[in-house]
Amino acid sequence: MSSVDATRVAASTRGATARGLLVADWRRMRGTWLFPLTVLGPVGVTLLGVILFLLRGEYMLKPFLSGEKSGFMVVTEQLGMIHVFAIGLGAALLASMIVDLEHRSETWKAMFSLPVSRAGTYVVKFVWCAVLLAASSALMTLGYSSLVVWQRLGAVPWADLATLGALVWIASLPLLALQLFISTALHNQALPLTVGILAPIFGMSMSDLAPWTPWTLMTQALAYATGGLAAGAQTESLTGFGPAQVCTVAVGTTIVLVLCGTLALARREIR
Amino acid sequence: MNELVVRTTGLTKRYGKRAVVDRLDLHVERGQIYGFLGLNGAGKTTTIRMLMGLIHPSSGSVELFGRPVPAERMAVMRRVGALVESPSYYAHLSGRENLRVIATLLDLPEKRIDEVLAIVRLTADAGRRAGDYSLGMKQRLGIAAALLGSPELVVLDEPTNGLDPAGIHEIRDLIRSMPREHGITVLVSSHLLAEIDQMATSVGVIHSGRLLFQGPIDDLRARSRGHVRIEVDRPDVALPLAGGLPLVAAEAGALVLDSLVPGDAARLVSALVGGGVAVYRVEERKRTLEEIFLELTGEGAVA
Repeated sequence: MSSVDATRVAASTRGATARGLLVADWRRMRGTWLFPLTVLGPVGVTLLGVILFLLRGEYMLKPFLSGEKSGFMVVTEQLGMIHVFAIGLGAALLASMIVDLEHRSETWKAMFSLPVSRAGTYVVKFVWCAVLLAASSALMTLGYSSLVVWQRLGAVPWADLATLGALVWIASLPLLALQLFISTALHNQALPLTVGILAPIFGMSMSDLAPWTPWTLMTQALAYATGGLAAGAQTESLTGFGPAQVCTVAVGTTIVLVLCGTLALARREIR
Repeated sequence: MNELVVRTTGLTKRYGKRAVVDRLDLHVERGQIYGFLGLNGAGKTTTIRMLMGLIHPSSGSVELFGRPVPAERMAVMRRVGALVESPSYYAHLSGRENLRVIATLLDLPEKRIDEVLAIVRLTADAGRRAGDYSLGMKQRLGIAAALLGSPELVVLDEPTNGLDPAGIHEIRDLIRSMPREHGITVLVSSHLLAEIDQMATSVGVIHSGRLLFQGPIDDLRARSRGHVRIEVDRPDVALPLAGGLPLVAAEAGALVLDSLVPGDAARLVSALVGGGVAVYRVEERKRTLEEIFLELTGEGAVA
């Protein structure tokens, strides 16, 4: 009995570790749509590219054949905006799904009756969504490259594709943080999802919006990575953020928003 | 006095002006099965949520194992297992996978999952989706989750809610075995007195947020002193004849007396008959715990 007591005392002050939180979330997500969605997003965008090439490939290939545009430009001109929109939508869906898992099963109360840090729980959920979005972005890069290979658009521009994928991903983190904040605060996911679907549609194309908002920041990233063309830089909407600016704004906004969400959950009355 | 595992001091929760929990001083000693009794809406769940640090008291404080909650929640909760209100489970995961999520958080071995599954007799159904479980199985899964971390204190909020008689019996046996076999202190809430009566060693009765009674269940039972009721045809004539006896009331057609020693009863009856009063019936009535509970809560409602 005394040895049991000893282990109890030794274990008594230990809360869940960061690894424990990460693995627990992974176990929860199994069997949900979070993983399939991560794959389906980029696959869908790539398939759209395939359809576009099949329907109007001749027209699209003309500037490449005449040497006006690179293969990279040809694919991103068609799919860049859709890619950015898909990542933005993905951020909203992933954020909603990862917390709705807890809302629906009413597991917040059970979880926070354990030695589990509320702040840690929130940050880990953000990290998981960010990781899944990164995976989506990597797959999106592969999708572009497969189109380049299929349409014989020259050597695969890995560096450009990697820059595009990474920069759009970093620029999507503030949006993810915002969506996770709203989705966690509200039990009913109708509003967070509506915002998550509608706001990018308007926000990403809104020329009046400041370039640092979560939505316009993603367009800024796309504009830089594609040399402005794919994002429609001809209009005055883009003030032209460089990659350093995109990263600084993204990281700054993300930290602020994640901090807000963490505090909100930490102070929340769990009923 | 034994070590206090749960101690609240003036614990109060107000929503707007209404005090849902009103200056509660809860004392649960180590090794007890503490029955937390109250009607639905009396403030039981709100109290338990404050004990777990899920909601913040408006005033007053909570101590678990002598440590303040929620301030030292992280240090204390490793020693506590709880089933708060309805059982929480991920419907898309199997019973075992649900427990594995918690085991991961608490860094427990897979062996422990098998143990608690065996305790609540869910081993055979561990692989099924928790969403397909019957209510009783979900409830048992919730109890398994509470037991998983080998806690010293288990808090169970209405654990038999919605169970069939066999399920209730099973859970009652399980709760009764906890202090004996595992040295666990149990705080169990219920709105059913009979249920608390059958398993608790100590009771707290809460009504409209106030603690009306707290102590050993035998003390509550001691309140159930018997009454002797004597039905007669003419109470007005009978009344003077009962002089010197502990008369409680003379109601229509009957005298009600505090419990009588047998000799007094015999003398009174003979005096009544001698005085020309017809005695229809002499009965001793013990108040049930149910009546005591209703009386307590009735007082509480008036106060």
